[in-house]
Amino acid sequence: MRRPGHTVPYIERTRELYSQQAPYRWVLNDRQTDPPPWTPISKPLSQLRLSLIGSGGVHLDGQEPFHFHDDTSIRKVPLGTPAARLRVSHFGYDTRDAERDAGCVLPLRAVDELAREGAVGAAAGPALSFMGGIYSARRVRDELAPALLDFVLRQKADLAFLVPA
Amino acid sequence: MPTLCMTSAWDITHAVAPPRAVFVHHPLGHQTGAPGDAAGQRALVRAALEAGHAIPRPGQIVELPQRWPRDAGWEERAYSPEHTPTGRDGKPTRD
Repeated sequence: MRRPGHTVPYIERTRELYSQQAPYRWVLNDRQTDPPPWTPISKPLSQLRLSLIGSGGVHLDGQEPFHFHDDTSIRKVPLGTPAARLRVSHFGYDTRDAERDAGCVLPLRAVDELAREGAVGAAAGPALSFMGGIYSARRVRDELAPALLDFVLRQKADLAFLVPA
Repeated sequence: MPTLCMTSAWDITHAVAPPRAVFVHHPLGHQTGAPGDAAGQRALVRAALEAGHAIPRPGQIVELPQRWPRDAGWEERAYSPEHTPTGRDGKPTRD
């Protein structure tokens, strides 16, 4: 699968921008030798319990902001949170619009409304939010991912809906 | 646990190879829509969920037809030297 020409070559541009620093080792999973794991979705969308997970660094005003040194912590953000109570801590993207409206990167309101109107079965609980600018892939794999899975299983979700920022 | 990834970085998503991915051709920081556009965000998220739910086999990246309605030419500026969200610790930014 080749990158469509209209899409932004983020990996290439990041390598060029930071060519003076030690190259970042991007996670690269070979689809041929190591195909993605596959768990079928068991229900129609209108019956699915959905856990929302976002890496855009969104949190509540009273919660501790994310720090920028491999922070693998998770904040629970209720879907019905008023926009004025949401904050964003992230260094890896332009957060100005997300600070105005976190729905740009963490669709709390959209998922809540889709659940209420029946397009999806239900929101399984508060959104799980973290700050995706984590340099250590090992810490994502060994600390963050298992913690997220534990939350999602406890929410008895049918689908983990991931929004990387 | 089934997962669905709603992403705006095609190349990074391809490298990671999640089971199901829906690509939205928007600038980073706007994967689920434009600020202040609740109806547009809801429609985009619904489209992503419907497209992702229909993915039949692992590793597919399905592109939605919606396009970023602002900032023509944003693709050229994204992560260019003049428009890079520099890491606050001076290191490369990535997600």
